[in-house]
Amino acid sequence: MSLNPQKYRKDFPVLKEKAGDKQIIYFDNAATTHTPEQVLERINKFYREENSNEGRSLHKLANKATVAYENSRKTVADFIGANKDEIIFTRNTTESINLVAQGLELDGKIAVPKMAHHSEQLPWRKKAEEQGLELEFLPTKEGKLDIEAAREIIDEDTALVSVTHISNVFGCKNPIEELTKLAHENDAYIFVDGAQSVPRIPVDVKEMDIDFLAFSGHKMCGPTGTGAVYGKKEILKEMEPFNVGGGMIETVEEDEVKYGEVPDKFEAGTPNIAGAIGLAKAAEYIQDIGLEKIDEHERKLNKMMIEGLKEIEGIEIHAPEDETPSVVSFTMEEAHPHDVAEILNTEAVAIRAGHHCAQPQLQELNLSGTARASPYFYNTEQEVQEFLEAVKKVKEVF
Amino acid sequence: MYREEILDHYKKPRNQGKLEDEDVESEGKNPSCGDETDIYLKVEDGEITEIKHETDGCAISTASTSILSNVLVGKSVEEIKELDSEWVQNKLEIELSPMRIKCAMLPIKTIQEAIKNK
Repeated sequence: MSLNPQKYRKDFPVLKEKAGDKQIIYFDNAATTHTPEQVLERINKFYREENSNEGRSLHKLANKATVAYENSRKTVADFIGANKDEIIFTRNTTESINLVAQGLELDGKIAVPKMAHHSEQLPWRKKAEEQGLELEFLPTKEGKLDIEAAREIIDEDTALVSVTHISNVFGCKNPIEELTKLAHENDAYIFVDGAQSVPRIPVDVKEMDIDFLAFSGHKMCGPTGTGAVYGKKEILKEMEPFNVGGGMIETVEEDEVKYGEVPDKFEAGTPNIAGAIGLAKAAEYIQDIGLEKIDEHERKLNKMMIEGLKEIEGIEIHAPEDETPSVVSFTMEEAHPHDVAEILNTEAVAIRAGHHCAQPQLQELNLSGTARASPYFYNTEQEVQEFLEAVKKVKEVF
Repeated sequence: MYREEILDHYKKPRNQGKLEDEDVESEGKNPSCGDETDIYLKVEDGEITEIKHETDGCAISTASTSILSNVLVGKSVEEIKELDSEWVQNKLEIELSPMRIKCAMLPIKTIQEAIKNK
């Protein structure tokens, strides 16, 4: 049975918010999703009933906090098919990628997609620059990662392949399976930026056989300031810690420091305990809905949106031709993307406009930005219709 | 925000082009929006006597540059150094959200950068 968004809308108080006298149509989910009551309540419960530091003190509240925090790690691990001790909690995808880029020893070339978000691109670029490694871009062809070019680029000198699972610019889903095979055949690591995929499609790290996966909580109904990175345990063990300090050591002596086990080694300082608990609740929430259903519903809305936009003169859609994208990026002949977003805002439609933190990709397309609409499972067909009407109003103004 | 005068200046920017004998040339960008402008100024006795510009940007940055290319002529360099976002919004007769103020401020910032040592 397909997904009924009305069933879930009641869980999201912010969906009732208005701009003027109109209820806001929130199509900016690729940037941040809303948070359901269940997650808000869970965070609230932590502060009201369990608040304490985790993994340190031994009193009753501390035990509750430790159990809740470690159970959250298990929930998040299960959500992506990982083992519990292969999940490191971070602040967001950006921090997850920096953690791996800084801690992983590489001796060879790094390959990064041209379409990569700056958060995926810059940690690898910085690493390459600092360690004198070569960095190659995997090019884009017609809104998708050019797999033929990738086959040429990835070779025995490659040490790591980073891949944008789903692009936040084009909404395409990149061929992780083949890229993983290519990377592993060449003894290279495969790193997956799952910021846009983990919230909307089923992801199983073991089945995919990927070495790393990074994602954020706030793009999957969780709180801001939360994220995680998965890494295969035998690789994590060899990696240097990201930050050093409290909570990540085994012993500290005057002349020697021994770091703790994985994943503690990567979580220096008191973590965002309430946030991790909220993230786990969010993972449960979307898992209960079903990732296949979420994906199917989104694609249905996006297909409607694209068909509607194609009927409006002067609109160009920036997406692969042969798949329904996860986000709908478009430009209008007469109006700059920011003006499109501004006028849609006056119609209470929330979208994103700009370069989507992928400047090299947009420069290649000779665009300064696009307007991007990104629905989620709580959006409705009615909202898509209203969005299309609002886009027509942009044409009336310009 | 998109009142008639703003749209008119966006569609037909005034004082568009280059000055061959400019005293000051300055390039300004809002990388996050992709707004770009090249501004050419003639300055005599500490006063702006002519402004031309080549602007590629959104309606707000383009209209702001166009309108200010008229308004700033006759003003002294010292006076221009003091102009702020409130002044610009008054001149454009629009109120802007925090994200759009930088669009409207692009010409002023670009000119202020160019004349800061004058």
